[in-house]
Amino acid sequence: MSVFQSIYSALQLGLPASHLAVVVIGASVIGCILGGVGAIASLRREALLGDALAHCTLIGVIFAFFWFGQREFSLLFFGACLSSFCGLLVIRALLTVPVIKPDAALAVVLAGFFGFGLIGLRYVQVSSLPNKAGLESFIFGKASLMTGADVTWAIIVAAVVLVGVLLSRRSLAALCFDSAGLVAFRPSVAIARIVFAALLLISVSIALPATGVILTCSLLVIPASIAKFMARSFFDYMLLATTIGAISGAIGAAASIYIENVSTGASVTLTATTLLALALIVRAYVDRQHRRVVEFPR
Amino acid sequence: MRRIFKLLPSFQLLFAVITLADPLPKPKITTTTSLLHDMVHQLAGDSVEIISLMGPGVDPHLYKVTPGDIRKLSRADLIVYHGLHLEGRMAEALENFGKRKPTFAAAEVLPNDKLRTLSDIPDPHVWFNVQLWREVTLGLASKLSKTFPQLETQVGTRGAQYANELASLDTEVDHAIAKIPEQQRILVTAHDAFGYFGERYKLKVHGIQGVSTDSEAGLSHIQSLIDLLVNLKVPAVFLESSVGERSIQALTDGAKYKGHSVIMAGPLYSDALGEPGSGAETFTGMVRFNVKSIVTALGGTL
Amino acid sequence: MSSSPSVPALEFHNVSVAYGERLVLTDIDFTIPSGSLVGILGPNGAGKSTLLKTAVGILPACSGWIKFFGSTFADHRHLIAYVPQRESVAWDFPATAFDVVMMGMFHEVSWWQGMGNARRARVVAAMERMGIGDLRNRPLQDLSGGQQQRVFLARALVQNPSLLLLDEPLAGIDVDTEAIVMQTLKELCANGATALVVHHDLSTVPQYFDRVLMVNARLICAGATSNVFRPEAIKATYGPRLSLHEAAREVARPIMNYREEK
Repeated sequence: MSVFQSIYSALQLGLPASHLAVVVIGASVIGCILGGVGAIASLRREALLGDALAHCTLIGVIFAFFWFGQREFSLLFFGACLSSFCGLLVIRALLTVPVIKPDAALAVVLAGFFGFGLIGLRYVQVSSLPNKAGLESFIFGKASLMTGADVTWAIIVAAVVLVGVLLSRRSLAALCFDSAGLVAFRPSVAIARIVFAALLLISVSIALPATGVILTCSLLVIPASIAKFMARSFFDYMLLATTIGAISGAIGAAASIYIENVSTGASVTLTATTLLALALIVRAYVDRQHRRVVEFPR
Repeated sequence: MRRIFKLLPSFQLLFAVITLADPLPKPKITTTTSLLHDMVHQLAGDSVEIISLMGPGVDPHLYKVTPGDIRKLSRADLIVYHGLHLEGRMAEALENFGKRKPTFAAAEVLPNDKLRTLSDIPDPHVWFNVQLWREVTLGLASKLSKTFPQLETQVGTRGAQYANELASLDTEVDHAIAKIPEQQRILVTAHDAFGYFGERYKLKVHGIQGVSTDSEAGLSHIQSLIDLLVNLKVPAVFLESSVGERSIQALTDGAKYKGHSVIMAGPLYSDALGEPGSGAETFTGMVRFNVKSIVTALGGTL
Repeated sequence: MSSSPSVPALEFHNVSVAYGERLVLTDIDFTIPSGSLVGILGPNGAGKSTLLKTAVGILPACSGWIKFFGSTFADHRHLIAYVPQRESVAWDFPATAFDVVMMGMFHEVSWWQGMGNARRARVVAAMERMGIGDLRNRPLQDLSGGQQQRVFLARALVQNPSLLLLDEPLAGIDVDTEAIVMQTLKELCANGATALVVHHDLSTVPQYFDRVLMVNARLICAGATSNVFRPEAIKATYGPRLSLHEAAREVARPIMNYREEK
């Protein structure tokens, strides 16, 4: 099969015709979600918040497994959301303590929750509970093994994120720019803060089982960084970040078909990083063209 | 939790009573996997105290040592582990114990020419070739006799008996697999555990992940597996007890998109024995269970 | 836009503010009549910014109460504009000057509505009033300090506020911007609005402000500039002598402003 043919068949949207299509579409939908949510997070200087929350989900997955005694996806998803929400609350609580810097708060929560998660996972692995196998794949998911069900979930979440972002576009912009300054708009900004946290939570929780923690974090950060180089308005920026996320997902997944022994997650991350490098080079070139000839010495 | 602490003194007392009552304490043998636990039990019966680090259904590739394990290992008179990097994440701990305690890497008694290698790494899943597992059993029997001379006669007779049992199991499996129509002797599983099985009993074997469960499969590999399922009309793919079902789900979905429906069979017991009562709690039981699942799913009749 | 002149625009009653255990402002008590242009003066670290942030509810007061036009902040939220210090804002935000000025009217429309052409025209008018009509489509990060300040003031203007709270709007900007900012504020106050401005340059106080609040952790004095802004009060606010460093800064400020602008 030629490269062109398989990319074409992979892009037959609407009717996934093959496993390739499932993975490529899934990766691009998840890239789209994470690109968009990561764009807001990175403007709020909270890109690593996603990373921390991603690591918080493990303990929730384990608890959900214990509590319900089964490996039903929606139950584990619920647990994941719940525990990363707890993680978020703890981070916010730590931030009110004057001596704790934001990065320290993130690090503490990430390490603490993930550590407990690993202990829990270990406990499950050595225990004799039924159905325990593969629990860890919720957080260390493998992109090449995405299933149609994963993609359906991802599309649902993408729709939720899209509606959320569109409805609160202005309050999200205000939240990112100066959250305190717009006195008159502050009630909406306060809602936007909650909306953003909720979107981040569900996006991370949906992306993890499909793509794993490393890919999730890189897709939160990299498309936003690229978009920031190129965008002139907030709308452009959001559009660019989601598009670049989607493109990285699609190209990365498609590329991993042709490269032997490269995992799909790594391939997607690599694609995104390559795009970032290209953006840096183009930006440097453009800057040189536009630089003023005379600079006043300070 | 608190209740356990309250019970703790009585446990200690119990231990003390046992040690007092027994004039010649039983040799303590710590094994890593449940398979080895079974092997030592078959050879030495109740005349040794066996502690297994991994219970039924535990994946040895991903298993990490806990402080509790270190205590179990240091209490042992002999440590029996599988070797050939099966206990991937325990290697360092086992090596350290090897310096100050008698240890025995059971599978490493096999000569190199009998081992399969995948990109220069030996495949550790030797137990699926019952002949090889028989050799490993004999190797362990002589190690036990040497280390604990008081057990020599017992291990000798039990070992010979068990070796015969394994030899007849080997032919039994051979006959059973032969009942699968020849073009359907293709075994697709979650990870590459069944290489020896395929080699000995003449099945083509494909795993989604590599030899260890600790790696991610590339998309090209998945796609070629799906093509294989569709082109050769393979009727079933197999779940494994110690690996999650996501990977198999991806395969059956992929084949379904191409109009070929594959059933999800099993689970097979691959890297660990089953729970007591599952019928797969001993090595022979596990092999029979697997063979039955494979033969029926692939269109043979028993 | 204008409230009845008898109601004070802003009242602080025994307000104290603390960061953790440390009291930053103690027992601040004053009343600002509508229509006044007020300078808030005090040395670095005196709590001037804290005073504004407490007024708009960014920081909580640990005692006392604050009233706007005789009632609560929430009742008059839409009449109040706050311009934060330039350094506190992320200027790499991907937006044009126009977008930022538009933010001043975000509270007027619902989630699902667009901003509409009438509001766009208001943005253009406000930007032209601030002399930055031609910068409409410039990305924010390409603007100079003075231009950023004008964008912020335009954002406040577009809201038609009755009370403006500005945190150091004249710091690090060029002479032209300083002139246009002060002129705009004077016009607003002449039309009945009230403005509180955190200010550093003591030499321009009598020329710019008709009232002053002099603060150094406590309120030193408050009142009409001609009555209150006297050497004794300055001494009480800035310590027994204006430190050499402060004096040097005051002298150097116009030059520094000019250079930062270039």
